[in-house]
Amino acid sequence: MKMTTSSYSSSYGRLQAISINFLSKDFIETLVKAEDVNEVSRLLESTWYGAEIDRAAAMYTPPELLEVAINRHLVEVNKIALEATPFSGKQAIRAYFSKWDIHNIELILSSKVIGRTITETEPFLVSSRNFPAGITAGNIPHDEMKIILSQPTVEGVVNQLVKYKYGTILIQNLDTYQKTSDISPMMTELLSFYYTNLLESIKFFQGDEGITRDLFRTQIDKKNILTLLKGKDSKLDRDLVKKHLIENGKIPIDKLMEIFTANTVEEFINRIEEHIKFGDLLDNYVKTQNLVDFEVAMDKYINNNYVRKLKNIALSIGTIFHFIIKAEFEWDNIKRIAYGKRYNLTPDRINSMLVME
Amino acid sequence: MPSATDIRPTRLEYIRTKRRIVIAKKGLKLLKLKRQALILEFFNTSKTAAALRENLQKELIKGYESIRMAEILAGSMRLENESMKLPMMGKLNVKSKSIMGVHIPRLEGGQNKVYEEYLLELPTSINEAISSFNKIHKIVLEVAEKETALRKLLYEIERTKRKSNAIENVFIPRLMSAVKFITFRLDEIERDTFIMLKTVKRKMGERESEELKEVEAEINV
Repeated sequence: MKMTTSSYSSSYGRLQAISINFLSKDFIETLVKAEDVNEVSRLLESTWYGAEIDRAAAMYTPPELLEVAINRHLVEVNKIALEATPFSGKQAIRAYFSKWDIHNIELILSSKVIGRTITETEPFLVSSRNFPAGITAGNIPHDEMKIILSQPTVEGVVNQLVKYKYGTILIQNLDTYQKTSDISPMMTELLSFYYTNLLESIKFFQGDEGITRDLFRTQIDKKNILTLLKGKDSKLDRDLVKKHLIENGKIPIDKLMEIFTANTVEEFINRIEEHIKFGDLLDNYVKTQNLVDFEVAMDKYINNNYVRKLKNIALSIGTIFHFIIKAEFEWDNIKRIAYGKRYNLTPDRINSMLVME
Repeated sequence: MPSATDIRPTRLEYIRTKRRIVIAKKGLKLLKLKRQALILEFFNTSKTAAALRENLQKELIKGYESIRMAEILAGSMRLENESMKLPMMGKLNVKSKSIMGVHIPRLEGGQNKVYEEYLLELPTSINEAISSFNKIHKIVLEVAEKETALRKLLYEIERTKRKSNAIENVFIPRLMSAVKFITFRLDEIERDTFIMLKTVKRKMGERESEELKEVEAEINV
């Protein structure tokens, strides 16, 4: 039988070779059991984070050192993933990475509205306190970022962004901003554009993109459910909360709004469980009643039900997303361990917040 | 302190002083009532302030815990990012209300209108931290309001107490002694007049009897 070569075979091979650098479960366990954050940093020096830790060690101390190092590392991993992606899949990966651009645009626009200064170093946007506040890991190049940052007004920033699609979305809400000085409608539109664009870019080219699409649709659900929970918690008006929901999730907006009529957060969670089978993932949330634990439970649910499955679709865009998302989970886990150690959290509590494959 | 020589021992002064005593006693009663009302308000406010302080302690613990959780879950970079986006606090207005004539500050504003809507777009951990510190900000303003009120009430209670003590222990006794002095002086004057009249009467009697004796002697001659 003759095997057909896929355009993803080289990227699969390349990323598989790099994937051996991901921290093992046992190593993560060792990090969790470390004495303090300095020991975590020492342990990580022998991993693929070593080079970045060395580079940042002159300016920062743990845990900030670790965060700066893992942020720079994430930028590099993203670059590798984009390079490894075949031409047909680049658009989807770029659409996914545009979330960093959106974070940065939000940051730049807010700083222009409020009048705070923001500058740029090679991998970060740096706040007025000279601390990294955003990763330039998206699709806007550094030189362009400098020009955008040099714009004195929101209007100037929006005009500079027109060539990146974001500007077109922002211009539609510029009038509202000029009348109210509120940039939140702009941001909601931008986020909605991000998910629409992401789902549009992951079309059925090979027929195995279903799980990837389901993954992002569940991420939309996660965002929507958390928005509703925050709205319920703060007793916000139904119409106001609805404005912040994003279309194309697995649970339709009408259904979500019906669930939002629940009288208590507990009732709300029970109704949500009809759509998302959490199993025992919500145990921690039931104990603490803290929305943070609910968010962690959602991440674990997404990891268990979608991210893990992506690994098994070898020659597909799913492999690349699996690589990127796994790197992000590792990035999150190290941050949680480092700051958990700083604040003397017990290993059990730290473990409860980690999302492991 | 006016000496006894400053007091005019007249009946008019006596009536005036008596009237002043009555007014002073009425004033003393009112001051005591005011002090009681102020003390009652002080205890009520101090109870509220104590409850608020206790609540503030709890909320601060929760707030710092939530900031830690936000740092653990979102990282300090995301925290920095979101803190850069936070709108500036609204202007704080200081108005005043009067409790028994004591002007107590009332703090209004200091929050931002788009706050709650803005919170919806944040990561849950940062949202919880911001909500928590938003609550703390409200409580701190309330505590500041109540504690300033307590200080002002305490000062006013002390002032009222000093006033009522001065009326009760200095002013009224002084007026009473003035009344006593005036009564004594009026009695003295009355006694003086009585004695003088008696002497005049006696002298007039003596003069009359001498004149009678002279007349009798002339007749006998």
